[in-house]
Amino acid sequence: MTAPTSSRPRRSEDPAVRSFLRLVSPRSVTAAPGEGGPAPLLVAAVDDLPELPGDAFVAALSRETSAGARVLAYHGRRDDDRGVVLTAALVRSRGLAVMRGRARHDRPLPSVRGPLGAHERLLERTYGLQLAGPPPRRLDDDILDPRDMWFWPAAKGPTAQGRRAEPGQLVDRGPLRLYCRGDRVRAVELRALPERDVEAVLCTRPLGHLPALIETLRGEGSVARAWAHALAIEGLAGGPFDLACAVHRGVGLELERVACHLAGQARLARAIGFGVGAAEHERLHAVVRDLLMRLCGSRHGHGHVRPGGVREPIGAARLADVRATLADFRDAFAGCSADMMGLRSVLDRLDGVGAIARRDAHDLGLVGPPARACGLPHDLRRDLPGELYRRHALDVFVEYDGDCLARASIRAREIEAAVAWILACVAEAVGARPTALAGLAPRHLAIAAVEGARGPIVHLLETDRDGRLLDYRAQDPGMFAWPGLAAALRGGSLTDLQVCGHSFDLSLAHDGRGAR
Amino acid sequence: MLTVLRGPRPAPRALPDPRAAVTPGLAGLPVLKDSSCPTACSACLPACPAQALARTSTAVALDLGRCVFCRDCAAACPEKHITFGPEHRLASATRRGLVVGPERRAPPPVAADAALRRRFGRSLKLVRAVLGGCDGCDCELRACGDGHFDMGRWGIEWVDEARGADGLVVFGPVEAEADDEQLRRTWAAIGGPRLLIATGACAIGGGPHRLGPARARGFFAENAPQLYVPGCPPHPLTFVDGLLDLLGAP
Ligand code: SF4
Ligand code: SF4
Repeated sequence: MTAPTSSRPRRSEDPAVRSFLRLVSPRSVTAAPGEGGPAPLLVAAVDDLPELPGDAFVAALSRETSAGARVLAYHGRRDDDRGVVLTAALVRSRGLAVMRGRARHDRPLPSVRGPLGAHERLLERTYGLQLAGPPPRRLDDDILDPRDMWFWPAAKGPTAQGRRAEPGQLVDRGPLRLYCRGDRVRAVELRALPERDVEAVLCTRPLGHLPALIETLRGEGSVARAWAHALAIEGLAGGPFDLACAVHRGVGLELERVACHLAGQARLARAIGFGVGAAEHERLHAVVRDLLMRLCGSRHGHGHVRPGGVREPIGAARLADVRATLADFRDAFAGCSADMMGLRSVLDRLDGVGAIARRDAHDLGLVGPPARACGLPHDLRRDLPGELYRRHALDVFVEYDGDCLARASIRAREIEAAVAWILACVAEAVGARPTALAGLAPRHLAIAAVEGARGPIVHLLETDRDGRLLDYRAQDPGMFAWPGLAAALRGGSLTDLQVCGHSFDLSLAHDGRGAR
Repeated sequence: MLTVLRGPRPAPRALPDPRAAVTPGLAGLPVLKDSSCPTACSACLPACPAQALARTSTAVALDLGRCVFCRDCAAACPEKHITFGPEHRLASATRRGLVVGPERRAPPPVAADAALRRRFGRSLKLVRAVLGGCDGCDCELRACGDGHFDMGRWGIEWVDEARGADGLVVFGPVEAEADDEQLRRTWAAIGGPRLLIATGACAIGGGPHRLGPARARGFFAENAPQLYVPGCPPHPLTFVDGLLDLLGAP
């Protein structure tokens, strides 16, 4: 007699044993040792960069990716008379690299898809570039069936078809459409969100206004964005590197990461009905945001980073405050996290839900904690450590199961690692000073990348022959998370929608908010 | 059981008294020096990314409805006339009340509305209208209802459906006609006596990313908000305090 097969995710006999094994299994990957290693900033004179024709550019790009390079950003600038200038920023084992190419309006550009899919969709949408080659993976038509019902869980506003919403059906414009039979999600369709082109405004504004504008761009992570901006501007202006200043910024970045992860854990706890854990995470979230506020005046880290240095230096009083607050926080979080990640009911609810295999995660181009939960050790603090993370290496964790439990446990570990990192090196932030910056170098390109809470934040700046900004691209990791969520939901149960969404740090309609 | 009872009391999860809470370190209410500015000086004006400053005959006036609290003006002022204090009570019942300057040091306190108190004093359900913008306002507004700031203790809650709500909280830039349309539809879906609140520099003043004067703001021309909560993003206590003042809560 053959055993009945089941489509449910494979589960081990005793979840407690399995969970125990999983919580001790993550491997810590430390930063590459040695001097002169890869830095998170690349500055190059535009005239020194060979400009490949479109076909050759894409061929070279796919050669690079098959050789193991990771594409951080793939961007196009409309150059009216001669087509679109393409720029790709790659992380190779030796560091950051850049490639330039030119696509013509009248010839379709070959497409690579795979991990580049999200970038290519953006190119098509934003620049109307035609891409030839295998089409993006469409809805699985073969498995669709007229008996399936479909809905937009986060789309209560006018839909893509222009259907007028009834009164009260409002507020959210989400990018997922779910096709379900009963409570099984059979297929997920991802649609493009209308985007406001806020970046176009950036090149028209005075340089001094940019930090405040960058901090209020779309997406969470003001410190990470401001740091990427400051790095790029300092690179173009030839500012000196100051370790104290880098530590100061790193402290803000890690506090921001802790706050984002805590908010995510709290939402996840609420989604599974674990109210006590949620409330405790929310209290700790307020503690960390308030500490950030005492360092720079804003709970969201606005003003913590300014090009050329820091504005609110850390003195003895602030240093003592950081140490005392984080020492208390560390103990409180250890208890609260043990409560949540040690509860059998919590583990049971999260284990095996929304799993993504490592191979799929790679093909989807996942970044940040969701990628690390699938066993991909992508973290710019390790891949492009620069002077700061070479001196103060930070533990980067990976998990291998790629499910909601893995994503939650990665976050919990990253919170602990971030707090330990701050406590170990915050003393070196004392004495950071602002410096005056010269003008920007003309006809240069700067690419700066910072690992934010949800993945790499990449800023790509180009100057014209007068040293004014010609092009600005600020890339948010949010664009990679939605395809990941779609993949995690496919084949699962509809009741896992909220849990999966929160585990990717994305929220759907029932929370009353839009996509980010 | 006995060990649990004898053990140390856990720290309270909710903020004990939000009405009395202070926010040390916050860059809140701007403090503009009394001494008048030199006639020829306008160094702070071009430094402001949000066009929130205006020169008056003797000093400067600062529009909290536009200010993103970047403090670049404080750095630019050679006379050090502008600083930012930790006061978080910034909400105002009128748009004009948000402009601070020599004649008005702070937004006038929000007066309690007896009718609103009667209706919503015990239970108020609010819905948020997401119009884009950065994530800041949304994060802080959610925090108002979480286990720490816990405005639920006054019966104020977030709901998902406009049909079940008593009030609408708008944040994010109201830029396009479509945004106005969306707001009108949500507003229409909220039946009966209702409350309109505008939150953050984007919704109140058009936001730092706006190019020139705000274009489509028809919705706010038709319906004046009963409460303006400035900030970028506002501190959760700014929102909670302003709302409780409006409802006349103790
Ligand atoms: S703090 Fe406000 S008034 Fe001052 S420069 Fe920034 S936005 Fe303008
Ligand atoms: S007002 Fe400020 S915090 Fe709120 S959405 Fe606009 S930019 Fe973001």
